[in-house]
Amino acid sequence: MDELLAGPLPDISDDGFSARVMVRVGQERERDRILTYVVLALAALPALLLPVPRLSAELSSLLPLIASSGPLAAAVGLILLTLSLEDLIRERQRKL
Amino acid sequence: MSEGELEARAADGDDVAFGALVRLHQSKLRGFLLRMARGDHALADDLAQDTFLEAHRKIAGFRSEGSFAGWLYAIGYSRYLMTARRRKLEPLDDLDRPADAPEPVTASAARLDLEKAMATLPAAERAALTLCFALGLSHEEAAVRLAMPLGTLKSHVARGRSKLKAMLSDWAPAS
Repeated sequence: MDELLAGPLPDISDDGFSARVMVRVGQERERDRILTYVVLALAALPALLLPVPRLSAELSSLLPLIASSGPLAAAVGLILLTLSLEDLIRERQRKL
Repeated sequence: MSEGELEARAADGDDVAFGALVRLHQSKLRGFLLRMARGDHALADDLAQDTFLEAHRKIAGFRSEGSFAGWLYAIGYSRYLMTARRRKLEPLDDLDRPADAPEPVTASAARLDLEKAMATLPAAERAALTLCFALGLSHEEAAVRLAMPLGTLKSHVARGRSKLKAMLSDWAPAS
């Protein structure tokens, strides 16, 4: 019984099977590439609709106000400090 | 190029290397799935194609714990189970009665009868017996690949083996 069970499975000739698999692999890769482009294009679309000149004008008028406000400057400083510390810790953990 | 090098290259996105792995493993994977699909060639080949496609998508995450072949069998087995569930091909758990009509066995027909008898076993027993005997995986690796505890795998092997023994002895000519 064990001898019969341990006998190799019958050899199945390729007959173009591998080629068919690789054709499908290529099709899948192509589909993924197109999908990536579509997603990128869709993600970029809202950016094209933004009123960029108006936003940049408003931002440039706001920046001096932010810079001159003590509490706001402190908050931005704290955020930057937290982000730097997080980076530092992550870097150290990666080295360990 | 060694199989390990092919695996490493394929994991880096080299489709030529992946193609070589497909050619290398197609026969055994299709044989395994043919047994799982109880001799349905079309289903076995569809499953084998899907298995290779899934392997291609996931190969970057393949770690060399165990063999590449074992990893493929695991994907193939889970694909088979999904299809079997969807198409209601399983279970055939109640196998106390022997397979259809007993037939006499000649030495040359032994393999054919093994396949017939094997087809009556539940999927887990077919998979466990095929991986451990015909495809030479250790019990430990087969258990990992079939996602079952080692003890469960061993009982599937033992149960399947004794059912086969009973069925094949029923078919054997009386001496």
